[in-house]
Amino acid sequence: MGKKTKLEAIDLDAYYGDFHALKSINIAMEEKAVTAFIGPSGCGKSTFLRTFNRMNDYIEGFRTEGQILIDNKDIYQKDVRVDELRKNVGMVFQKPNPFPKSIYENVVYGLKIQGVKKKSVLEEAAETSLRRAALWDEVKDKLHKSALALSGGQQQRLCIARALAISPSVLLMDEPASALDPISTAKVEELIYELKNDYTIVIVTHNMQQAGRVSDYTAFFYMGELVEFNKTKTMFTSPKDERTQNYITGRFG
Amino acid sequence: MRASEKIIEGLLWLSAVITILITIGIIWVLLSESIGFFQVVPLSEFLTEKEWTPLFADKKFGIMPLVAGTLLTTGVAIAVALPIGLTIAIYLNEYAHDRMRLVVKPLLEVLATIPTVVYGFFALTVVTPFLQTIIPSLAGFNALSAGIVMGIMIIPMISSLSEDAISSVPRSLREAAYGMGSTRLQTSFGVMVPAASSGIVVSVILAISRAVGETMIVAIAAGQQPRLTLNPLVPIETITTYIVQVSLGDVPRGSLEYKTIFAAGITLFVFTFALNNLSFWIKKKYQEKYD
Repeated sequence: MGKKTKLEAIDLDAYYGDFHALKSINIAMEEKAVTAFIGPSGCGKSTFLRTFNRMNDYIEGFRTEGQILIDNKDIYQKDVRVDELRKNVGMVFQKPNPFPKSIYENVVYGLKIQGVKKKSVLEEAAETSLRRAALWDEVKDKLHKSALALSGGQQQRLCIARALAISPSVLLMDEPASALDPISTAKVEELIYELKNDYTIVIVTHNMQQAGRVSDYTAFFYMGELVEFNKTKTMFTSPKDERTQNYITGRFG
Repeated sequence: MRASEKIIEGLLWLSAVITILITIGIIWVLLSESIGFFQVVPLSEFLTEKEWTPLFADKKFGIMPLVAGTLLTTGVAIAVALPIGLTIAIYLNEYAHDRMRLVVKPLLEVLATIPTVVYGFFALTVVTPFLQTIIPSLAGFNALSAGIVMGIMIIPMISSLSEDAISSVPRSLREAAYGMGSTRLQTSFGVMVPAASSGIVVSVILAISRAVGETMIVAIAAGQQPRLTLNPLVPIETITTYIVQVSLGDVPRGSLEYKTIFAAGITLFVFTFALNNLSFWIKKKYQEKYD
């Protein structure tokens, strides 16, 4: 340990109307490390992930109690601007969702909405981000072609490049490889491994092997509770809670 | 197959065929009558002559003044309806709560159910006097008020169809935009509207097609003076109002004057037919973009 805490939840409860989706979650996640959220469907792991960029705000009836801290600042305070927050906390979704624009326009979208107009800056950012996302060599000759013409795996890496282009410090990934074939999945996993040198990454996954391969820490959620949180190695070899043991050995979920 | 099934199938087939036959019949009448017209008035004169005076002693047969009048009122109508309709569509989609949407959408559609004759009188007796307080030179009959009121009439067409188009953009795109730190406005204009653009364009084309064919409002409020101008402040005449004017008058059946309405009619038909096909083509071409 010894490293700085980047993301933290303190006594966090979340509700969809009357449904109690997250029950007093307490967790502190390390900077520049990969934390995986695992657990059966409906356990609240995606909901929890989405509290870090307040993506749940648009769902009617959703509310939280407690605190979510990023760099020790409570992001649910009134003075926090959600659009500013999301420039620091990037997100990659389950299904690749590039905009129906060119590859280049997708990558520079975030910079453009921030008002960056200079072509040289945009072009450089596009190349850097695409290289970081290990996509540059595949698309450098067709930057102005539609992003929708790319394969699913390429689209997902494009979405990662798009998220990286605005230099966030946190990257939230909601089952980023669940819609991809094994080869694309391997590429995305490799990428996550590379990216953790510079970013704090939280990844939700259904895939136990994937959690084992890419993450430093793992949190197991069950029925809205955080059951266990530990180093991935420790968690997978000697889980403390019986429910964790049952889940990772495939007895349910 | 049982006999009753056969009969039902036959009846369904018959109703489909009757619709097609009626359409063909209308086109046939339009064509045959206007052929008679074009045998007397060459097509070149019809398209290039700058005056339209079939009912005067000195007859001139240039369709352009009527086309100009039609385009003018349509242009004003779209200039009113597109920004308002699109704003409403975006508001309903991005900002309004579900309950608000459930109330506003049907209310807007009421606008489309008001009889056009009411709109016409509204243009003549309310909008024109009001506009005259701002623009003193405005004539009592003019293209401007007729166009504005026509625009109000087609707002629900644009807002409703555009709202459908925007709401059919996948949720994942909206999330992508928000996830990048876009504000609601940036999400709407930068992502949702472009992604829904084909549907929005279709809504506008259908609205244009409706405006081109609109008769009553312009007949009441725009005057009936064919004039080759794009000045919205003076009286004009559209293709549709000319047809009404002649159909109601005492023009002898079979005369050249009588045949002018078919020539005007076929011009109108070419316009709306082209617009409807264009919208159909755009819809088909861009529909499957997300599948």
